[in-house]
Amino acid sequence: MEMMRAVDYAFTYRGKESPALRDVRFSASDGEVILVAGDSGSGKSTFLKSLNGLIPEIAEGRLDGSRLLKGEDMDKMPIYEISRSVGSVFQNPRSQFFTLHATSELVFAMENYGLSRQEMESRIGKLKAALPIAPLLDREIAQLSSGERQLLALASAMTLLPDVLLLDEPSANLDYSNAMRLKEIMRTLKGQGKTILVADHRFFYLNGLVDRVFLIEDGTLRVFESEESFRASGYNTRSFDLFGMDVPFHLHQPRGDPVICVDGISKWDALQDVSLSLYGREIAAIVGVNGAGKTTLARLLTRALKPDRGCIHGEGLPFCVMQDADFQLFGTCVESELDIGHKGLAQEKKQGALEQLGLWGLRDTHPFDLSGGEKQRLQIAVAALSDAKLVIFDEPTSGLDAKSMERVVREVEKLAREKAVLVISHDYEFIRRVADRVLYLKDGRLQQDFMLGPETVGVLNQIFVDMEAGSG
Amino acid sequence: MRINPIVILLFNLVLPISIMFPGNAYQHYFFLTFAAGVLLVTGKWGRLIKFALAYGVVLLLTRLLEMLPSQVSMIFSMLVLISVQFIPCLMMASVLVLDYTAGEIISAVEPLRLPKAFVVSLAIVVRYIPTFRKEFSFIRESMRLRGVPYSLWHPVRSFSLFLVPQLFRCSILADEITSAGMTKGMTNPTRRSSYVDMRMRTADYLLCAVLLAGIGGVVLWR
Repeated sequence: MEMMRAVDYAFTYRGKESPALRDVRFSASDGEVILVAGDSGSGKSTFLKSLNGLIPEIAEGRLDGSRLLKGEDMDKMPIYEISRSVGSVFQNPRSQFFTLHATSELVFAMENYGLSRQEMESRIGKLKAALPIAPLLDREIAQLSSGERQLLALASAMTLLPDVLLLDEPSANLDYSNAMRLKEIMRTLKGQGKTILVADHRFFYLNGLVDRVFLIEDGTLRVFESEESFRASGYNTRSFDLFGMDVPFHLHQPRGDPVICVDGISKWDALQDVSLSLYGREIAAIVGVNGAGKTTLARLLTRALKPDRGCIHGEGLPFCVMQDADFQLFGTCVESELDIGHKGLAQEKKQGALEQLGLWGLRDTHPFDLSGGEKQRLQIAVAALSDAKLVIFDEPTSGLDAKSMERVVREVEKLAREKAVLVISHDYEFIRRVADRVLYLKDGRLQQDFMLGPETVGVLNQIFVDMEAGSG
Repeated sequence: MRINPIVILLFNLVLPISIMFPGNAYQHYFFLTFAAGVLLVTGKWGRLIKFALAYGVVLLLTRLLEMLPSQVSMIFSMLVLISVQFIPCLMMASVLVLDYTAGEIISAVEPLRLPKAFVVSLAIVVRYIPTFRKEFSFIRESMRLRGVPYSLWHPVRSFSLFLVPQLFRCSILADEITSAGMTKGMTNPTRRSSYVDMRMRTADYLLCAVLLAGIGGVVLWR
């Protein structure tokens, strides 16, 4: 049965000349899983917003052509009618919840539609049978792990029993094991006849599940009738098959002096007796499931926390490139951003750093007018000019397409010519390309610490298999 | 005990307004006792102790100020006096923001037939406050690592640096939260139901009666 259809659909944001999406033609049936692929900025979000009714509800502009939901013209439907049939799971785990409590989030949509308490309980009961949400109920959302939040977001999108589910980069904040678990959940939903459109840059967890692929390039939509035809298309995709990927290993540079030494530190239950040293000109990657102690270790290194036992030796504070650049940019323009905390910086130095990262042309732009990628590059420029000997990256490739991920690899490599780099990442492809050394944290302990190369790649693969199994 | 959210909303409206009308000498003590009583019956002991400590500190400040020359102490005593008056309001606000969800508040005001746009904005404000606290800690941490820590010794610099990311985050978050609400039928004109029981109980009426009688006693009767 046909669930959605678009005929020559186009959307132009108000004040823009050219359309963000044009000539969109497709039809989606029940039980289909459709991957929506495309580079950052290609029009994927506009596409999803057009399907869940947020366009034109909150984004104004000109609509052309038509969108049909179960045969009905969506232009004539208010958003609350569309939401009955189309459930949305957003990318950002912080702002997609309207309440702060798991149960009240789950019932929020049902309350808006005036369902009786009895009906709400019956639907929650059915959801509990379909998804492993029982342990989440009655908990504060802030205390849930990223995997649990994603699950809650999915469950709350399903309470209105929608026929269509839209998932926007669901894997961006998930570790490998949770991404694989999401795959199984999507398989179950597909079996129940739901139409699932999933926009993502990382495809490995969708391997073998996708029926068709919609590729969005420059605002137009190309339909591939199968996963295979998409793979054969030559689009620079991220890997479907992680462990089979064939990319060169990172060329090791001679290790510099140790910049920070961690000696037998423990913190709460999160970290137990961890010792390691990080060296200049070396890129180390920390891997581990959500909750393994990666963030605690990073916060100990930046002295945001004090260890309960053990000590950390090292000069000065490390620089941390946060996942969300918005918290880290304070300047009034790109160039003045570099002056903050670093007065009297020579003009040539600033120009050099910005030129290297392709930001010199944007030097007078306000940091918040930059794209996500440009903001990240500005953070890297600040890191490069800082006195810090160690730069920590927190999930630098979360939500990045293949080209942008490759660019981050090059930038991290450049930075590592002068500094020690520690990368916290769930991204196998990124780690495989960039890391000299891998640190595996499990249950708060450092389980493995090895140099990555052709001989040890099996160990890395085994860690990822172990993480998947460990999630149960 | 769980107090009906509409009663808590009412308290949050009535208390700050009443404080603006200076009543007799017992006014402040009545509001303080009332707000403490609400925290007690809702079982928020820990929070009550924290507020009591804060109150103690402010009181101590008042005594210390009395020792200063009168011109200097005048300015500060005004500030301290206002802080003391506002503690009961903060206690009430903490109950609303920390113990009730946006959904409960929307459901609670449903019978009042307020315009949907107003109710939605109210819910977004209540939803935003706890998020703000979290964002504040992220920004503060990031300032520390940039070598410009948030510090009371540099209030202007700290505040201006803090404000830029905060303002932009505000606009992004408001957009995102609104999208989340919209796709969950927040604008649906149907009468909203509630998963939690929203009926007024005897205790709710009783608390309202105590507050109104108290206001009558301390504001109107001098």
